[in-house]
Amino acid sequence: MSVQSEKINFSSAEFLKSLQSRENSSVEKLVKKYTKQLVNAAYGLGFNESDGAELVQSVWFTFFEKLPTFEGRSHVRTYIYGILYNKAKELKRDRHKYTSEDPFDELMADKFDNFGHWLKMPLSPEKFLASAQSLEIIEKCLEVLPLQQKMAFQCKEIEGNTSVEICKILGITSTNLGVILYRAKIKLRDCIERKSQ
Amino acid sequence: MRSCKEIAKLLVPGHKLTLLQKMGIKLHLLLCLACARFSKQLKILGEVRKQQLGQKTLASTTHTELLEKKIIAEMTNKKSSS
Repeated sequence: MSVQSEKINFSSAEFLKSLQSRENSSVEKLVKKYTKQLVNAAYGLGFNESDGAELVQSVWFTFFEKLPTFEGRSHVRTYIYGILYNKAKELKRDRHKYTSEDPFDELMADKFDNFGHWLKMPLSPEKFLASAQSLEIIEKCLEVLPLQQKMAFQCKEIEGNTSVEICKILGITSTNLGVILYRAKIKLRDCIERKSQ
Repeated sequence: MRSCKEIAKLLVPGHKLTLLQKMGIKLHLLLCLACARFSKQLKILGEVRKQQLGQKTLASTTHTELLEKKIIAEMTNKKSSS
């Protein structure tokens, strides 16, 4: 029961089999391993405590329901996060269409003069940090991001996943991931700067 | 030397940078306050958010443990359903 740091390969065929037959100890190990992370991710995507709990529960339901078709080609964790992303999309009714135009021109070009110099000095790290640390400000700023950008930001910056994993979770190419992350970070940064004044 | 606009473009995640570009960025950031601030801001974003979410998750530990129990119970009870 307690915190024995027994190493389990969650993606091994045996473990998956034991999950399929709903062996108590395996189910418990997996659920205990990832539920907290999923709750964290739900918060990161802007869900509150009760909606987040509901989301996480439906992720697990779907996971066990789909388990017989999971072939173990990606890591279990990646698979679970893919379900999380899709469930969150359903709940948020996110219909954001991804556009592939260069986000730099869209978001950054007007910040520079003809010589490529900044038109406005960016905020000092101290001031920026103070603004970003305000939960109210950052959550307001995150709210307006499309789910896809929030998810990419969460997976990359908060959980430090590899790009390969994130691309699988979001169902995108690595070029797109760069663009999506860039959009997310620049929009957040701009919003936090604006709100700090 | 590259302009600030070019540097800002290279600071984008996902860019595969050559060694020369990396050195160019480093040098530029040493000499240019505006770009140094911009670069630092992008770093701060992830760090701050990570901290905030960590605290939020920690605060709901009891809630999460109950949730875990509930899920485990439900999933192990449905053995015969699939």
